[in-house]
Amino acid sequence: MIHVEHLTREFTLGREVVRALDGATLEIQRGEYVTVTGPSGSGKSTLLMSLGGLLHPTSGRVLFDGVDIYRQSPRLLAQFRMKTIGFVFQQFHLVPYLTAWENVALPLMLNGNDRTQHRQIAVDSLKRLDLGSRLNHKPSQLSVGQQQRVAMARTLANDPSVILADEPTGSLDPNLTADLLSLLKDLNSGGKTIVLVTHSHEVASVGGRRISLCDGKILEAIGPN
Amino acid sequence: MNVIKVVLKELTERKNQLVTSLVAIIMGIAVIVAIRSMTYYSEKAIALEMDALGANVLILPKGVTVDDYYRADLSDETMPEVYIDNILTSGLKGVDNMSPKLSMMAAVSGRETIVTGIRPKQEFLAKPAWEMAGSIFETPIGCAVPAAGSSSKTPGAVDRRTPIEALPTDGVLLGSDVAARLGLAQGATLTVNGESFQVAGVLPVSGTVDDGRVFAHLDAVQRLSGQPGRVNAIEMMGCCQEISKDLIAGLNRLLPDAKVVTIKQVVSAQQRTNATMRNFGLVFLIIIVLVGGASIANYMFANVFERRREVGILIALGAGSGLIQRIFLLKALILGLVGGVFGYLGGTALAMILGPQLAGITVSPRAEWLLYSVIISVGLSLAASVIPVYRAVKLDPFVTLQEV
Repeated sequence: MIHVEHLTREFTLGREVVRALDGATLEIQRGEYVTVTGPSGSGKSTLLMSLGGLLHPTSGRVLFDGVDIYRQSPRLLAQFRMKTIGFVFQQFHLVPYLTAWENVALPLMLNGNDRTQHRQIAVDSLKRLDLGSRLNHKPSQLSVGQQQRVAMARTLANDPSVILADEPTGSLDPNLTADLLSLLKDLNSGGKTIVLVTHSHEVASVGGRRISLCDGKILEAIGPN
Repeated sequence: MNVIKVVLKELTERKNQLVTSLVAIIMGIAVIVAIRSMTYYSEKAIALEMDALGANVLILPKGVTVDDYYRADLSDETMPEVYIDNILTSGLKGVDNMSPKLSMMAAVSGRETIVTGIRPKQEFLAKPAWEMAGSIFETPIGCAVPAAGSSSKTPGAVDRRTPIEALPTDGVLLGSDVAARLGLAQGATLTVNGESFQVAGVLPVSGTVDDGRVFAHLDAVQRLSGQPGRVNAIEMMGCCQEISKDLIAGLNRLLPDAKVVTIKQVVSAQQRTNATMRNFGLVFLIIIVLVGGASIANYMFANVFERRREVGILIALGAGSGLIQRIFLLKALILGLVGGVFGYLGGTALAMILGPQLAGITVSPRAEWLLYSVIISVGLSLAASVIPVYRAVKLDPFVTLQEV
């Protein structure tokens, strides 16, 4: 499904060129649950953003179902992100001036869904995540766990086939971490492909396959736990 | 959910910032409208003052020379008075007033004096100086600029105009020198070529040949000189812009047997003053546009910087560059619209308050400037937003989403 070939990504910091990813090659099958671990600065987030069509590689390719996503037009690449990819961020990245249901409705708006149905779809999603009483609350009025669930509802709004989670448990307490990992497990069981970046070996152990990165290189790919 | 709702929510989220940026735009547009309003009405007031310089076109019989403008109407040649009707019915634009004259040498109480026949009301309009002071104008004139050519009368002006407007065919006006020489005052009686006339008034000193003349009704002079329906000069007040265009050429075409002369100094003074006022307004407009544009651009740059993470989120959710552009340009459009409307209202109010105090002019609201204000404000907002929007589109979502 996802095929990464010799992926290299360099950043220029002042006069220094930093190679965040160094010839990474990787294959992810449909419905897999892959966790990516490694020390800070090892290139985990760079790999994740590259998989999601947010970061053009310096060299190498990212193929999705055989199509090099970075060879597509900007419009098609945006559509790829909209329809296929769902991002989960450590900071949630909710839009602060929109209510919970409006945040969830954002991807629906971008996708061109029937405007009259945005609210209903968003409300149904939030109710499934037990946020029915927080529909009109802004992010600042929600607890951390509630914000994470709103962010998950937004991620799932367009029913993406791939979920890319960047340190999703970094801001959560153990209970909320367990809830989120359980939700991701359920989504994976429902057929969605999950790629999860984490510092935590405990969190990494929930995946089906574990990849370790160091200095931008894939050190090992451990098989199903 | 739609883009407009998202933009409106963002604008109202931080009311302080919104108010600050709106105030900047409103103030910029208000200053433009206020200055433009005041220069517009100042131009009109100055145009009236320029009219007060008097006639600027002279129509003479073909063979008359104009070596001395003030004596150009003393030739023996005459032309039909009906030329005035021809001009009035021709549709020529820019004719403010016409004053026909017929002059003759006559024995005034036994002394040879120039007697000039005038149509009183027209002569009054062509010679505003007569209105300003003098023995026959007893009501104080105050500071108001006389609106030459205007049919409206200030309460004070009615009394001053009455003697000239109502000059009967058996009445005369005396130039100041003549009055002194003959020892005559208002109400006295004199003879012109043996015919009796009553002195309706004495004109103020003008410093011209008028001081040595006797002015009688044109009908009376035509009768005394045996030249009914004839004149030997028509003084005209032409609007200077029309003089620049085709008034003179039109008069030459209309009156091939007459000579049309412009008084260049008067015309050029009028044109120079109007051009100065226009340039003055233009300079202010350019300054305000630059300052206002910089203010809006500054706001938009700051807004793009503050919203960079949201831009990153939208891109991650699948927004293309077109949508990012639309969001920021819509914001600029809304700010421009609101700024234009309120800037117009504020600027007009400012001009109406300050106009009479600072420039002695009365300023009235001009509805069409609402449209101009909105066009300038929206145009300025959009133009000032081009670079900030370009930067928003070029934001790297990877970088903005990694920021804590």
